[in-house]
Amino acid sequence: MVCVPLFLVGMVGCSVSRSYSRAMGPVGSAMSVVDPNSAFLKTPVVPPPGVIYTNYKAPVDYDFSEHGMGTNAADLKSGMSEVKRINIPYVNLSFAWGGDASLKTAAADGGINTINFVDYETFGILTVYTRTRFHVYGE
Amino acid sequence: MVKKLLGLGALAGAALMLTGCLSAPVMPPYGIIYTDYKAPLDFDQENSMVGMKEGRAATVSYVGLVAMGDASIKAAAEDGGISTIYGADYEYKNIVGIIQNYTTIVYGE
Repeated sequence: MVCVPLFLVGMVGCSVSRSYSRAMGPVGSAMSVVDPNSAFLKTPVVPPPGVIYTNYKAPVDYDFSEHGMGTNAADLKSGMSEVKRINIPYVNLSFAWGGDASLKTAAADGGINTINFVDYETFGILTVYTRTRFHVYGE
Repeated sequence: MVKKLLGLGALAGAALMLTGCLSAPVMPPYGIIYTDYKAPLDFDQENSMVGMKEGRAATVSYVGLVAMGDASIKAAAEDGGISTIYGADYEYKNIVGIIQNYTTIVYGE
């Protein structure tokens, strides 16, 4: 039972570091030294990330029953766009380049005219290097 | 024993402090020590998912330090052999911040 208050501290820390980043911008980012929320992208669905190593795919698009028709998921073409970021921890100096993660670029990459759904992939090491890819599926 | 508990508590607390928690469009209240729930991912559904095929894809995070997996819609649809997706839920499990599981569940035919 002794450890329960420490968990609470942890949870408070989690929410505090988020609100710092959100409310205080760069100052907040500097205060939360290893804040994965500043290193990882913001999407509606973010599975729990890892500080040392992260490599997962997750959904971007989660509305499948548009007009009650459902979304085709079989035999689709796919296209990809990506953006990379390097961050120097503690001082939080970051550089993001190759910055075209747009869906237009991803669709053009796959020769896609109608986008059915979108997933994303994020790869990160120590919040120093982060690579975000958008995978577009369609016809 | 108390020292061990303190150490474990501090480790999990630090891990939770360091890592980001799950973020999703719909999030029921979750437990710090133990969480296991399903919630809507696609909350604008017009079809009942009763009797449909189900596909699952998951990511896992260990102590908030290492996270990996493929919880994409594509992977979930392939897992369930689904060609038309009608809706989606997700499942989240958390055991003291040591193991966190996120699973995308898609429904379709």
